Amino acid sequence: MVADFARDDRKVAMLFLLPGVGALLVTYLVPLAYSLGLSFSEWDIRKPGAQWVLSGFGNYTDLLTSEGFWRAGLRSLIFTLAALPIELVLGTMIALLLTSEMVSSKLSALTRVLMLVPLMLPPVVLGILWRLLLNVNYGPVNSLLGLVGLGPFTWAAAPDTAMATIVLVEVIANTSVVSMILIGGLLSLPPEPIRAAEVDGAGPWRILFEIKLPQLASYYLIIVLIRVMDLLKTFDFIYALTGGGPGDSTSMLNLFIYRVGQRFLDYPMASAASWVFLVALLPLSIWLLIKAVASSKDYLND
Amino acid sequence: MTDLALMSLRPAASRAGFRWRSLVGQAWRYGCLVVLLAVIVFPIYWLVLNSLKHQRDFFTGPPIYFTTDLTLSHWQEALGNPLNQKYLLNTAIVTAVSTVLATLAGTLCAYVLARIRLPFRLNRVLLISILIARLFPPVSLAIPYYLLMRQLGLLDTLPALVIAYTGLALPFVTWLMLTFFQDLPREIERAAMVDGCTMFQRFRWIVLPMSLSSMMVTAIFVFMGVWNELLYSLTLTSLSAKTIPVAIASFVGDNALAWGQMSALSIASFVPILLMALTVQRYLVRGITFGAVKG
Repeated sequence: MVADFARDDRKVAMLFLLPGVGALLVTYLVPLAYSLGLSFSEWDIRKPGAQWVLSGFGNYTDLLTSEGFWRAGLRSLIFTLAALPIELVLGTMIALLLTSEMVSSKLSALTRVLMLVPLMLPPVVLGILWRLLLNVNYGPVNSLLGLVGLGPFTWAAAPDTAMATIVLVEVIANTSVVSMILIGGLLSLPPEPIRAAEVDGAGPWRILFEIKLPQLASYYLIIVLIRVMDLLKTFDFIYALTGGGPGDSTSMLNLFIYRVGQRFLDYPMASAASWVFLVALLPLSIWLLIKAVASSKDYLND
Repeated sequence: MTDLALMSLRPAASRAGFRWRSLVGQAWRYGCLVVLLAVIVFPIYWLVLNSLKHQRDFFTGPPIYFTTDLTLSHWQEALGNPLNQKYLLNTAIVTAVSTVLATLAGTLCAYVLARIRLPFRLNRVLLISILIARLFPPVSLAIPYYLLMRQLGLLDTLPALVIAYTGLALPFVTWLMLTFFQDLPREIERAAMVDGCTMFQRFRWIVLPMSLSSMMVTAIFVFMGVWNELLYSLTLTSLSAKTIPVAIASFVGDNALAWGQMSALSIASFVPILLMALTVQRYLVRGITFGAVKG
């Protein structure tokens, strides 16, 4: 941009950068290098005092031919692709509802504050809470659905329904993110085109689909990027709600890696799995980077 | 004549139709609102109720939805338990220390990135590195952290968690503060520079006082994230350095029927976070979107 600040400042600048950059090196570069080395190694942890030795691509070939890994990856994908569209549609509907002129503004303001609650709930608490709510025998959800003749459902307790349950809880917890971003977007829309369309006789649906939503495209892009990254990373509430079970029906990549490493103590394999996961995330990350760097042009003196 | 009659009739008819349609629209909207509120409020009500119910009232069919026969015994057991007190204290210490460290280090980085043109296009290199770091799934660092901390003899200690959480929060702080600094007018700094202020003096006496509130907002976001973090704590601690999310999660395996204590401890860990969220409500969208949407 502008060379507004003096060249002598560079020394101080380096000093300013030191703690942050140092911490990033220690907390990212060192463990990543370590895990990369480990992923190409063998380590017989049963022998006391044994160290790991480089051994080539063995872990990667084992991993990529193991059914468990692919199933976990597929589950991550299913979870993400199931939750995302539901959150987008529901989030849009809630945002429209809460900005609608037909709903009392006090009530919608109250709802907006209350929507913070599921969002701010610690993920572990979220998992525990839904464990209680969806308990097959003593939970209120099955009992209430029973009153209208539905169920009883097995929810998280059976492999067939566990994944759908996880998606349901995820949607309830995080649709607020989508709504809150969109509410901001909807309120910032210029009113003139909407008024003009109304005068010209356009119905509410046409105004929605041809005027409001297209103007929110950039908001949707950000939402999709953020949600996809977070959905793929989801660990905490699933750990507390199902622990990846029953069986391995909700064991997604994160839980798979955690289990391989912490339960079966196969550190090289877990490292290899993390690297495959990272590489799989790469296209998405690069896309996000391009978007973010493009939007940050004005933040930088570059 | 007929034209006139039609002209006077048409608006009336359409107005009646409009009124009817808007009534249905309104009823439908309020219906949706009620469902939405129920889905938000009922789970919280259930959690509070569970923390106050007698143990004998949990395993009934149908469940007890309302009762005045309540007890504080679960709260006393959950909060009176010295282990839980220790875990709460651990969580508070680890969260406070890593929040302060990450906020300070990240703010300094962000200020340099926003104001100083570094050699070798370092601004861009650093920014991209920070973004990549933010995109990392934490699970890919959990295993190397565990092994490295074991080698350093730091397993199950608070410093191990502080290191991991500071690293986790740094990219977020740097990016969010960068967007705040961008909104800060540069003119005052420029004037100070003309008057001979060094960069350190400008930062200390001009920028810092102006950005204290942004730093507070950022710190609160970091605090909420670290307070709730499960994975690293699960990996790096076993007994003495456990944090409260791990303690809550371990109910599932160890004490699966202690629903009352489970609920009481959950609420205890949620309340500080909720209060903080309310103070930064105005900036929430900005925090969630990593500064991409100013909200």
